Amino acid sequence: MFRLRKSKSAEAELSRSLFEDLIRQHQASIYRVAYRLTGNHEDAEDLVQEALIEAFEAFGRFRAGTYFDRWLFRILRNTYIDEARARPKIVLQSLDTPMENDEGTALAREIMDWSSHPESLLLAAELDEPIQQALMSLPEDFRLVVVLSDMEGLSYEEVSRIAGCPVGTVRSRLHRARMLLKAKLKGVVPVRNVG
Amino acid sequence: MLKCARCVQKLSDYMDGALGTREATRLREHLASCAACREEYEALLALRKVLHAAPTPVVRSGFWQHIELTLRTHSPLGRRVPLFSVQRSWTWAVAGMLLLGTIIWVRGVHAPASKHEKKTMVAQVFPKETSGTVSMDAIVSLHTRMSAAHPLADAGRLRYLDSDSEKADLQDGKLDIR
Repeated sequence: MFRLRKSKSAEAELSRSLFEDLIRQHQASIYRVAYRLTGNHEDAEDLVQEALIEAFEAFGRFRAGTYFDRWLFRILRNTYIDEARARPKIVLQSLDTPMENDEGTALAREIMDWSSHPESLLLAAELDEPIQQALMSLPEDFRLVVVLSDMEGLSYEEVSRIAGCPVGTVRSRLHRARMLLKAKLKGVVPVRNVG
Repeated sequence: MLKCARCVQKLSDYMDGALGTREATRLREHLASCAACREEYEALLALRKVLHAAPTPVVRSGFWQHIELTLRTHSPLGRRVPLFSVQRSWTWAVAGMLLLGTIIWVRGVHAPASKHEKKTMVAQVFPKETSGTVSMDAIVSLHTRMSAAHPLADAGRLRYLDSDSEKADLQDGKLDIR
């Protein structure tokens, strides 16, 4: 009695095909998280590529039946931290710091009043740049929990597993990050009138 | 009555439904009566709403095809993980513990015995010897008792003692052991 066994190359091809299918299902959220963490498309593309290669190599350890995107977010986070440690620290600009033109004259940052645009989606699209700037002003650990929790909708427990810290730490970082963002975006994000 | 500072600290948890019933009730009662805290809460709600609705950034055309091609041509064996990375942290921790354990074991096994310890060891093995040194008679007697069929430590000097007659000859000094 014989049992046909697939060759190693056939198994590898099947694994690759399955991996690619999973990537296609989650590619929007993968890129979204990478972009929100890095703040620009170039770095986001590099981060996604590095993380996907790591994930591909570790795919044998992925447990079927668990969330692929959560597993991938953890790899993305680890890759981001490794890359952040490897590159020189960048100077983050505060929204309160005035910009300067070529002649050295200070230019005030103009933040438009969006209170006349009630549509939240349109509003969010228009606020994307100031929101991203505010996100980049946060420490990386704070930025990660805000992106995963408020932008991707993950639970505290899921964020805790991805970030590698206790749930209590996630809650604390999330609250402090929100308070910092609220202060940075004061006058930018419209709040309905308090009675 | 909940104080404003405490209320503001708990606003995120309240917003996410992470507070217990009792604490949530107390906070809700405070918000009903405090305009300043209510304003803070409304601002956090608006922020979370905008963050949640933030658009997905537009990916460069051809990027995912590039990723697919990269994965198809990628050889897993060729990858190097950075030496000091999050992935290697457990490896370093285990390596450190093994090294420490090895150092402790080596120091314990090869610790030189003091003079007193040496005399005690000799006395335990050869109870009739009192000078601290061991005579050939005592060693032969020990191995004869044990009916040793194995080479002794000083293999160059003594050979196997297989028969009783050989053992007796050795004791009588008739067996040349050189």
